[in-house]
Amino acid sequence: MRSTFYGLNIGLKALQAQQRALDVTSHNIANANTPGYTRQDVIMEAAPAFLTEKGYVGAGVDITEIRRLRDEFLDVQIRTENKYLGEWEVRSNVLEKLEVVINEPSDSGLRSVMDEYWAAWQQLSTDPSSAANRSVVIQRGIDLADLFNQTDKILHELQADINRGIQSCVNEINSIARQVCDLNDQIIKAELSGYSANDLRDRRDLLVENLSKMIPVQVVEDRFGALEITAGGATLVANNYYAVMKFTDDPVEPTRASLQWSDPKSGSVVGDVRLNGGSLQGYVVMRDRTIAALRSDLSQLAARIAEEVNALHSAGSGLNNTSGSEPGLDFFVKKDAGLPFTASNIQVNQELVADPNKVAASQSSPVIPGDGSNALAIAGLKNKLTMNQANPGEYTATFDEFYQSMVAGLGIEAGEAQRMLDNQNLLVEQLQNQREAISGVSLDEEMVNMIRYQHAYTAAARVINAMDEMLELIVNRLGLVGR
Amino acid sequence: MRVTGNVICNNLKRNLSNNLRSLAEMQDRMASLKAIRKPSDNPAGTVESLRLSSRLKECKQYQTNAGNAISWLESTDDALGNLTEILNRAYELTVYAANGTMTPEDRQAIADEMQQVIGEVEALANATHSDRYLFGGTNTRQKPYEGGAWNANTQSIYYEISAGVLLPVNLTAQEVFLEKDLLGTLQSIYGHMAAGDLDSLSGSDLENLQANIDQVLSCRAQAGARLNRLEMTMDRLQDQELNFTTLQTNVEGLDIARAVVDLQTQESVYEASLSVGARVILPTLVDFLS
Repeated sequence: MRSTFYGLNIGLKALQAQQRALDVTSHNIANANTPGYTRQDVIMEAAPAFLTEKGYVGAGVDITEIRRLRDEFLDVQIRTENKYLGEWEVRSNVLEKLEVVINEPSDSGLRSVMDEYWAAWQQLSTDPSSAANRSVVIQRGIDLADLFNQTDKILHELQADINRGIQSCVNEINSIARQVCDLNDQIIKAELSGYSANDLRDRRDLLVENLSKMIPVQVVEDRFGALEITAGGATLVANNYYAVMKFTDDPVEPTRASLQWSDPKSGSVVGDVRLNGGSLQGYVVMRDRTIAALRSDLSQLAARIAEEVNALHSAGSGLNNTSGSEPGLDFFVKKDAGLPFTASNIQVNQELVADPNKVAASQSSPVIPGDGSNALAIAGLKNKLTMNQANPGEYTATFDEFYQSMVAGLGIEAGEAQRMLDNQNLLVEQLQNQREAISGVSLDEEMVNMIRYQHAYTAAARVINAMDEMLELIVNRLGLVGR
Repeated sequence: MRVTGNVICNNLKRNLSNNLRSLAEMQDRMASLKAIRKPSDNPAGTVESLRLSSRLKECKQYQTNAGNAISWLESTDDALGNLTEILNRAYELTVYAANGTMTPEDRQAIADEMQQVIGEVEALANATHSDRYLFGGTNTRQKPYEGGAWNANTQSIYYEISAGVLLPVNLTAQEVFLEKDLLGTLQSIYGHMAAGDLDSLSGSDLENLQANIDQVLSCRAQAGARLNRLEMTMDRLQDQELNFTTLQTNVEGLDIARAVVDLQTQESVYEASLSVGARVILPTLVDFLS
């Protein structure tokens, strides 16, 4: 026997289900532009039917699940590509700055200043007794030493800046690790009910994705729904534990800064962070390889110029050496005598600056004022093989060639970084579009759904109305006996 | 593939920013008129450009050197020209004085003029070029001939006029004055004039003087030859400079016609992408529901 109010119940269930579905649609529309949001879909199911003497009768609709539409495989792919994106972003950015620092080709770069220096010696060789020519040689020497000093200083500052970049990266990684750990906890609790905590999961996935740009991650979800993240050779997050990355800067020598894992509770160091990608790796590669190599090349160039010029200069005679017994002077001296010549540890001998007559243009001792042979010999260093020692005393490149290959190397590296960044950007964007195709909110679709649910709601209301009318007929109008 | 509004928006944003980036790059290129603004634009071209700039600078310095050498040698040539004239006068005087019909007083007058000639020759030995003594060897700051003694050395002053090419620019007192003992010859002529030694005057004196004149002429010829060589070098250096400049323009200069066309193409591409964007992002179903 059918209950009189059975139909009302079905109508009510339908109303509730369509209303709920409208809620989800509205939630989707509201979050259409929320980063990391995954569209949700209402899964409806016919409610278990009743067996009557005439067969099974449907019992209306039930909502079984509000499902998040997401492809985990795409997430993994995006995380993998993200680490390259992060690394190349940093590298291309730093290399762009380096190109500005090196400033070639231009009329104010090292090339030009070196040319001017050798030209000044040439000029001196044509009139070695001229005070003006002597001052020009000194001035060009000072220009050269200054440019070496300044370039090296800027490069050093760039390394220090990179360390600041690493520090903020590390702060972000630590903050993400803590948040993921919190979310793990919340998700486990929320999902005890058996339903998926969609929006919390979205937030967690977004955090992990941001993390994957800075450091390569391996992500595993345990059976309770908590994420276990391995990164940099250690467990970053596991259930309710998270490790803390610790960065110790070294302001004097930025390449000696250290990156270590430490235990959040005891604070003790667990081990070194191992890097194999991500923006952290990009920073470290730039700091320890590219910039360090540039600085070492510049230092090598400065040191060799100083050595070669000094060898000739100290053997020659300045105008003051009239007795033949004045000791020869070095043209370039170290700022700090205890350290070897480097791009930052080089300056023109102050004795020469104070008295340009001491510039040794002559090879004869005692000096012959009109003899510019030493100046000519020094000017000749420009085209002498002085760099890239093959065997002791045997060199294979000139100063210019050495510098040119340094600049070309930088250009090639910067070009490669830009290309890699472009490719990687495209790749990640394509993957994101693929994911968007699955997880993104389409307003058209939501509109169609909205209309669909709205109509279903109206119809369900109509059914209840009909039931109401039927009950009205039975209860109020059927027969007047008993009134 | 399911397409959502966000996919379209993202693609549009990416394309717009790519197009704008190309446009900005081209505008920058046009503004700087340089095809290579940083090493990564063209690493091989950058090396070429650096190399050519260095060569160009070198070439200019060699031109300055050659120019200095030319003016030095021109001064030398002037001095030797004067010297030749003076010596020719001395030759005339000697021939004159060797004439037996002359009275001792007349001969004395000639001897007095000879004395002046000697003075002029001594002065020419100290000829200068911008405060440097021409004939002092590398000892350019001390008078080559002073109080009867020679301070000159025999060193050549070398100017580098092309890579590795050294040209001696000076003629030393040794070559011009001392080789044939010019002053000694003149002084002995003067002595013979004063003493009336006609045999010596018409004999060995004339011979010696002629040898000296020949020596000076040969020095002058040498200076002339070097000047010639310098003029040629100068021409070659100027050609080289032109070559290097052309090459450099080829490497780092911008092909303006092409750049303008590229820029315009890029501009229309950007405008097209903007107008497409305006169409693409507007409508959704929302716009058509009442």
